Amino acid sequence: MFKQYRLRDYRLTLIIYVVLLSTIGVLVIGSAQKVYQTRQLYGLILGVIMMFVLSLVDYTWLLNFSWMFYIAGNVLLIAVLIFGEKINGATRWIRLGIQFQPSDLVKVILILFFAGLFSKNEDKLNTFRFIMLSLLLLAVPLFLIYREPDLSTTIVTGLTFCAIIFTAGLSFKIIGGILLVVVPSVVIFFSIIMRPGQTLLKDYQLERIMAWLKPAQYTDGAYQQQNSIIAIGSGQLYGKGLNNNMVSSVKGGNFIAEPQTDFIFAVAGEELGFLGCCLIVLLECLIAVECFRIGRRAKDLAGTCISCGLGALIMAQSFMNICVATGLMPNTGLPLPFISYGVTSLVTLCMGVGIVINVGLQNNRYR
Amino acid sequence: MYEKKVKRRRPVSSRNIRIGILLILALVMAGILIQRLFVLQIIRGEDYLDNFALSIRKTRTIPSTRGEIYDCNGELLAYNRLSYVVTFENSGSYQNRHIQNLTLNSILYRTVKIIESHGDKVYLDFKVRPAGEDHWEYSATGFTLSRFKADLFGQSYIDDLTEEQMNMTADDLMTLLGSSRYFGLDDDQITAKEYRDYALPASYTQEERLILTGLRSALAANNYQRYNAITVAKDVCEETVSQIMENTASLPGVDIAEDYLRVYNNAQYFGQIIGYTGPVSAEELKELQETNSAYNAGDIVGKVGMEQVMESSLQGQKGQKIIYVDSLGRTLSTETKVEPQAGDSLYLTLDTELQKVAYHILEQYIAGIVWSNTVDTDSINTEWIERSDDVRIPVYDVYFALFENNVLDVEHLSEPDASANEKRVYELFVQKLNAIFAEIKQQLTTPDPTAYKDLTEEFQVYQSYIVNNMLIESGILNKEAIDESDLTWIAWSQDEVISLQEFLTYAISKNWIDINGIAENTAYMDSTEAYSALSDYIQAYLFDDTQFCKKVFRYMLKEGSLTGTEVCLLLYDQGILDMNVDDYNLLSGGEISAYDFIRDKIYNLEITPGQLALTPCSGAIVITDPATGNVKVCVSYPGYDNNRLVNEMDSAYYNKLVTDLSSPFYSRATQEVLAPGSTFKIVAATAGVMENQVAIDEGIACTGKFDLVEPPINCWNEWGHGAETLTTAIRDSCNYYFNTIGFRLSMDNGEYNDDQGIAQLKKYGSMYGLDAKSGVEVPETAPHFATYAAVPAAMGQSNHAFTVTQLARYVNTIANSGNCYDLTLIDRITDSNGNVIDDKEPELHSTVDIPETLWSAIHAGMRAMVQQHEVFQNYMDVSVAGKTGTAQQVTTIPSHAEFIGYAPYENPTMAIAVRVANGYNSKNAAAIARDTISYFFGQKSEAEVITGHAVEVSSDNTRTD
Repeated sequence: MFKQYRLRDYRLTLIIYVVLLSTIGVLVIGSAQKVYQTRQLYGLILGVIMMFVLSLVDYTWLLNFSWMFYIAGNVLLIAVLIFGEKINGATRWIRLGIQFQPSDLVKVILILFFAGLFSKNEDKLNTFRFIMLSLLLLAVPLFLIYREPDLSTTIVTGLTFCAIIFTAGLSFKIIGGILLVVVPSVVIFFSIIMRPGQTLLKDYQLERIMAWLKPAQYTDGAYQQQNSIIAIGSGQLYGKGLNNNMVSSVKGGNFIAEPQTDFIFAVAGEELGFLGCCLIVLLECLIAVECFRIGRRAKDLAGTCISCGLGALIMAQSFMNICVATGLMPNTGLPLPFISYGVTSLVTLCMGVGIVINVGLQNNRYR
Repeated sequence: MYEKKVKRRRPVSSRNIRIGILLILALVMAGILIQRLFVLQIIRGEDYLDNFALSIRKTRTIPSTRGEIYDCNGELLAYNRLSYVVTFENSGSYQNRHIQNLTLNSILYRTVKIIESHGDKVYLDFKVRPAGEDHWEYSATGFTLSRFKADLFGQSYIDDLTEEQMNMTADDLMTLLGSSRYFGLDDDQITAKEYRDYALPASYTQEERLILTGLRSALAANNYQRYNAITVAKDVCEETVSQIMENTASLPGVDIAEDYLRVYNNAQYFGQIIGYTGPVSAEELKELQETNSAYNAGDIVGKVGMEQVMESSLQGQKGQKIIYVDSLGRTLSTETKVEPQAGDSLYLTLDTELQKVAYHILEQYIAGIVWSNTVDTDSINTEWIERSDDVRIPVYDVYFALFENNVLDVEHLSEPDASANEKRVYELFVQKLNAIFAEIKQQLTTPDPTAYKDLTEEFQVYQSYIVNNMLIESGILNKEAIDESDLTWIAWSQDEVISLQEFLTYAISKNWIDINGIAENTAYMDSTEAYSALSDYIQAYLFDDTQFCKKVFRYMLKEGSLTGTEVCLLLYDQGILDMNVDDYNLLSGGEISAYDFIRDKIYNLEITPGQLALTPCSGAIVITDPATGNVKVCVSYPGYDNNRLVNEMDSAYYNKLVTDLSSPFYSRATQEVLAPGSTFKIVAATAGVMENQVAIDEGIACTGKFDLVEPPINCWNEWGHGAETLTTAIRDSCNYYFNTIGFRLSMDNGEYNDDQGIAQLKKYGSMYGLDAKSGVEVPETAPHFATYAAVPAAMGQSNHAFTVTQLARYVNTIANSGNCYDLTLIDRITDSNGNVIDDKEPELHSTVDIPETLWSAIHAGMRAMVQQHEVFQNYMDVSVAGKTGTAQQVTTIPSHAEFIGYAPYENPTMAIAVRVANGYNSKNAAAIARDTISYFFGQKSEAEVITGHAVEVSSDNTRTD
């Protein structure tokens, strides 16, 4: 379970990035909603411990349990649908002593699971049967998440899967074929949902998309996003400072509902300004890049897939979150990795990083 | 070297390419985000910041304190009283609606209890009121109701209301609003513990329910402008204020605000001049905004009188404060504040003490005239009256006036708490009504109906009322359809030779009348049935018709089926007179006659002439300063209490004033124009001498009848005055003398030219200011100079019509021998700190440039007139000069009593004009002037002139001018 590692292979930079970013997160949460700051801090401490512990656990050993993790994850997701707590119209949380969001954990589990699956079946990867099988295995948790309903997590998880299978060596021909199918489908999808009376999307989903496309007409839906843009914009170069009590504060005027979660970037943008925002974007990017670098030097395909999968997850989720906050995408509910309030999200991501560090510790010296 | 080569040559693995792609993707994503952030924060950041600041910045105006109004001695007439308003601002945020309802209801409930415990009233603007136990009704209809519902359901437009909301009954509405979806007054989910914790009762009384629902609705209407606090109670007492301030911790959001209420001192005497303020109307707002854009809807502005005329000075400048609000409009902070600037103060030229005394003197005399001329008879046959001097007031007109001018409340007679006497009167009334309706029904159904002209006067009145008021107003008789030249119509309306039944039959045949609405199946009725149905309809309609009922009372009094005693007792029953058991018993026992009783009450001013609105019921006195044209007194009787019309308008009082037959809103001093009578003669004297038609000392022999014109004009002294010079003609008010001047002024080369005569009179009338408004700042009716009949016009007849203020300027010009000043009510305007902004200087309208000898003759004539006048006999207080005038309209109603004068004769310091419309005889006006002048010069004390009872004036009204 534990191996002997060389200390010089321990990726301290990655830990520094994570801790730095999470600390910014804790500070911004404290400014947004003071009450959540302490819990997030505890989450960070727990996350760092877990990260450290998992960094020492041999990921190859962990992969032995990947089916178990997969099944456990799906059970949790089903449990959420049955016993979960409904908050703001969505059932995403389950109470196991503490309030806990299984979909966050499932994202990391699925990275491990598919990394294991693909590395074991590297030779069959480009066969139709295997692709169908892995899609089926993906579909189960995705459907469960989608039913919560949590469309955005579904999308991010799907994207992460794409990144893993791409890394694992999915043939460029197949990718080309998929793109040929997917790009027109997306065009058709949008042309369908724009029509009145469509049944493809639920009303709230459509409303968010429409609010993004035509903010003037769907003002209620775009309200949150518009206020977020105003908040970020008004931060200018240096921002208004953390915990400021300026009158002209978007956050202070309660113009952003629940600023500690999905729209935390609005608060960060307003208070830390362009410089702070760039720091956050760069740190998220550096964490992803560091993951990719570890993946490149991993001793086996599984390690590469885990690292790249996690990097892709962090990058995709950050990108989507910030795109929503800055109005580049329709409003979807995704937390910003390491920054948004959410102990489950923080701890699971730290665990993921811990595993990636372990991958780095077992690097292939010849590559 | 070698290593490098190896590295370079080593094939790039597929995995590295793929990871490289991911890496590039990550960098591209980061690039996109940073580019976006650069655009948002650096390029457009400032715009966002500014726009955002705009959207949360609200400008709140702070009303300015309205300027005060003082009299010439610095005594306050209008000022602002600090009052306290309980307000509530919903600034909390709540977990859910349940908690929100509990919290808000609890705060409001406890606040209301505090307010009510000190006797203050909650302020509600809610269009629902209780209608019996557990039932409700709307207190508004039509547009107002729809607007109310739209506001309640949060719709901007009435059209957006659903059918269901539109048609919702008041009961359903109250149930809905009480539900947990709305204000949660009735909510099963409230636990017993919550009731205790929030100090709420398990069930509300109807009154509590109304108040809470009303306040919550006001709050809900404010949901997105929470920086606007709602008003919970206005003008609360100190105890309420202190208890609420003590409990602020447990009543978050409840606060005490200061508000100023307009108060008028001595309101009764200054009502028409000062006027009152009120919320600006749409039309007023448009007009005011043209000169001052700071006016907004809801502002309080002057509506009437000085308050209106001097609005721009009194208003002051609003202050401003900028507040920042959050997404729900809760106040975050207050930024800059521009202090409001109080309005300018107005110092009037009026003297409160003089005004007050003049008002009471006027009232006492008018009461005296009514008292002296009331006779104990049921009616006076007007055909016997040859001269207006002989008109008297039959006492039954006084009783009837109590009904007609709404002193007695007819509706109260049938209320459950009516007294025994009231019930008895009502019973008599119903008996009388039934008899009337039986008779009308009989007339409508008999084969042999009586022609209109053969009916009694009483039934003529009823039938006219039925046709002209009831049938036309109710739309049964279509006035438009009637052919005015139709012979039957003429036979009914002019010749009066056909009966009502005949007229109606004809009207139905002509389709002037739509009988379908009055009963079912009218189409199948024969004419008797149809008329029977119509008379039933008439009966039902007129039973509640107040105007018709009043007519019935009139005839009941006339025929004696209702006695004066019963009417007088009603005065006690309805609390118009303070209960006096002795008097009540004496009256009901027949030991005092109703005639003596009511005259006694008139004498003691317990029933005022203003209340009775008989003729006379009104009068005016204007006193001016000859040196400046400043108005020292400007009294119009009856007055009104503008305190009841300002701030929260007492609409019942307002309606009473509007319908009051004595027209208290109508200023008798500045708005009523009447013939000047003989007071005009000074103008004719001036014109005659200046146009060389008569020499000052030329004698003209009065024969008693001026017969150079048709019809001949009698002098009031039918036997003739003999030879009159200018001075003696003024003294004697000789008509013949002034007719002669009028006639001579009209002579154009031996031909009579009426226009020339009028033009000559007008030329001199203009010098005395009779061609223009007097200059007083309150609204004044323009004067009307005679346009024909120069000969009677010369003695003040023809169609001259002037206000008392215009006569006052005229006599003011005589008093100072030729300077015709514009009258003014405003002495000076100062800012709120007392610095004079505008000190009004006397302004000349014109001058009367005539020789000193003519002035002496005029003054001497006026002095002599006073000296020989009966009301000035043995009068030693001050030397008065003057001219009386009795302006006759027709012989059936009393003439107007007028007097103009000045004092002291040697060096006038005051000029006075008095008029009592329909005051019988000028000597009444002269007596009013005499008492007022005595008080003015301090020769009589207030107690001596204001006795508290009517002045006994002579009922010998034989005219002497």
